[in-house]
Amino acid sequence: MRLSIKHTLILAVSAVAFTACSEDDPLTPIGSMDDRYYAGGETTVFSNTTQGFAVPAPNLTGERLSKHLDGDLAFEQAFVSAPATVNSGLGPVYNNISCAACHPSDGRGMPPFDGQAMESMLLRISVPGSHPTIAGAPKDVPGFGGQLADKALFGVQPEAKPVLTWMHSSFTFPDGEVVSLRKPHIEITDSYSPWPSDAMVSPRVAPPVFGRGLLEAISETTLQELADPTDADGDGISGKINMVWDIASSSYLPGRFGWKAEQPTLLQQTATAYVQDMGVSNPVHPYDNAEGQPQEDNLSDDPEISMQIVEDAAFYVQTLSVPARRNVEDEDVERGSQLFSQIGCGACHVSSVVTGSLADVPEVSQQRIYPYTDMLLHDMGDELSDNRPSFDATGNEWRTPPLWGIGLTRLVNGHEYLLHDGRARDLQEAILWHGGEAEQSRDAYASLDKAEREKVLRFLRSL
Amino acid sequence: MKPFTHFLTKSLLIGAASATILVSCSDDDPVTPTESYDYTAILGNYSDVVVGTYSDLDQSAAALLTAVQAIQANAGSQSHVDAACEAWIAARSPWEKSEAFLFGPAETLSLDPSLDSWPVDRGQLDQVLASSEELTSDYVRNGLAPTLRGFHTVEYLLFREGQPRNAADFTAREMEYLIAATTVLTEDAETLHTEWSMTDGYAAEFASAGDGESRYLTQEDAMIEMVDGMIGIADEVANGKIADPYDENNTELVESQFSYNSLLDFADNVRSIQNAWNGTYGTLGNGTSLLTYVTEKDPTIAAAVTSLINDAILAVENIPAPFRNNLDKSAEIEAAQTAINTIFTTLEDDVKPLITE
Repeated sequence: MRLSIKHTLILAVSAVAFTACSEDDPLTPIGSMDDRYYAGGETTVFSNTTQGFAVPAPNLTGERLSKHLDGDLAFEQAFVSAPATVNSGLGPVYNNISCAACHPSDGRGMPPFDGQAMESMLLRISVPGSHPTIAGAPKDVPGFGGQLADKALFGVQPEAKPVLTWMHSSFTFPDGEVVSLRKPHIEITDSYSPWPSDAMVSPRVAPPVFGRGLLEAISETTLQELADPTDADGDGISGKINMVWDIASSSYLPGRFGWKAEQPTLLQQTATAYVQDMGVSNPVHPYDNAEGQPQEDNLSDDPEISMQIVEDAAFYVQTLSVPARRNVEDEDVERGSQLFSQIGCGACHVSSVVTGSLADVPEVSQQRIYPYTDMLLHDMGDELSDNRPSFDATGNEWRTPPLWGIGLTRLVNGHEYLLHDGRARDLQEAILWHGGEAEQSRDAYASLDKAEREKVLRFLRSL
Repeated sequence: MKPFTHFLTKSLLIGAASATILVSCSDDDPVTPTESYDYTAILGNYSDVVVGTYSDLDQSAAALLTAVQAIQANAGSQSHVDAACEAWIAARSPWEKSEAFLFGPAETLSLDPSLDSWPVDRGQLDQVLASSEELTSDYVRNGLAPTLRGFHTVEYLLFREGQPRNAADFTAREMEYLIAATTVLTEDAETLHTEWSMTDGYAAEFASAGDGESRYLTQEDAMIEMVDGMIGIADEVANGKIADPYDENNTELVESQFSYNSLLDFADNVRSIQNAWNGTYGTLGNGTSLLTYVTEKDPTIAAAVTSLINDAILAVENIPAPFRNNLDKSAEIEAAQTAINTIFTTLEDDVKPLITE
């Protein structure tokens, strides 16, 4: 906990009851000025260092903290090929060898430079048609599954070598300023078996993992209140829940995690990442990612990790703190915040909600938080489309990503590559790629004068 | 690698958290702090210490490569194997002495996992060695996982049970792999050095904290980064590197177990804290440091930290060697853990508040 000067002073000068917030309507935005420092409610941490995304929620205690720390170790654990005495179970095909390798410092991955291998980005893949057992789910690419494994153990062939090339373009503001933009073009080469011509490919950069328990704790009722799938209010913004398959309950639940909200819970997200990203089978997904494919390992070591490990890693992600905002009282930041609202960004990047109850995780329950997301799918236009539907999400639709902590990205991760494929190299480029329902707001941003645009960016960097 | 365990931080967080909750809906405007202390000289000298450490790592890694190449050139010569093992230990030391500052390029460029992944993927290594794959540094870097390169892979190829391997045992394939992996290690060491020392590199970023351009908003943030780096490695040594094998009584979890270098690793980690505290690295650094600042603010705390660091090094050295064969020496092991954790709590409880208050 890095309790900054500001907050030490606040403690000295104020003794205001805090109960008011929990009585608020979950969707009533914006508390008082210093309320908004506390982006993660009681899980907020004051840290403006490279560790800003990696701090346990300060309201964890005793055994809860120990469990979080066990999860921290699980998150760092580098897997090796089976059989091995420690950390056995990598592959046979995989994308990376540990959780932390793609989520460095619990933060954001990045896309490769021209022609380099993907390290903290992966490709979701599917072919047109219906999933054989789960209605709405993407249909696996025969022989490749739902995710392309671009790495493999020695003696096993990677499923393919994706080659990414950046295509450059430019954007001209009404005031004449020109900004260069880039967009990835991906070729699938060297596939271990013929790559179907109708296969669809969706590039995904690893997102930050802090604050996720709070997002899991937002009630379904709140999501439904935020949703407007038919744009009944006629504001041009729809907002749709992605109903996705929940393995544990054998039912459809609101999707929350991943760039298209394809995972309903952090436990399922974590278990799926183990098997798909690392080839580590577990009780939720008891077979390797190459099971049934020509390159399966034929070992009888499944599941390769226990449910305890999966649960610890999921709990770790559920209970990482959210970094506090910085410079909230700065005049330019305040003005930027107003502009952000005026030009409509807040219609999807909803500033604040109050969480509901997350079973067994009281630390994230009933918290007033400032995530700047509605957790819903929105049409972001053809330019951002991956042309790959998944459950209720069309190719053009993406889940509004939370913006909290985004201003620390450059410090924590050494870059500010944003959006699902990391094409945006800074906050402004990310704004300029917004299309579809967000096009009006993008145009409104572009029409601001340069000083005002800078204030919007300053506001975003304060998050 | 850096499992971020922080056993004690967590409990410390709780008191602070319960305080912050009280004001989470307050209507009072936060008070803007004014920076009352100019940390420029401390941050600048700290950056020099980091660059000096990485410069040493860079040079000693290059010397290790030369020594490894000499084994190949003098096949069967035990003295060349012995010399390479000494060179490994010499290169290992500046790396361990850099672990109080694993932030920045070590993390963002994945150089820490590339240099120091554990465990070694011995299953794959055996298969690679048995194959006819051409063993170039490019292949080791780009064709294989990080668990097949770095200090511990090189260590595994050089040492057995704390001793240099018999020169007669090296196969031609092992020699090729050793050279390829050591080449990658030297490249990573050079990258770390360059990324910190170059114009507009991380040293400049760090030293210019608070100037409006640096990613560090304030000098105070950079000072906290420095202290957190020290706390982070104290936590990792006491509650990770020592605790994991000790708690589970599992020698497989001991780092640097092929060379039996573990205790020197741990002591060098504490020396890393010492260097950050004193603002020196060998003859480098002018000593304008966190120690200087704390001495000004509270000489009692300053003296306490200095002696705690010395005590912790002695406590680590008091564990019978090799560590992996002495996991039953509870008294010595726990004394070392306690000594290191006391550095941790003192930095967190007593030193940090001197910066943030």
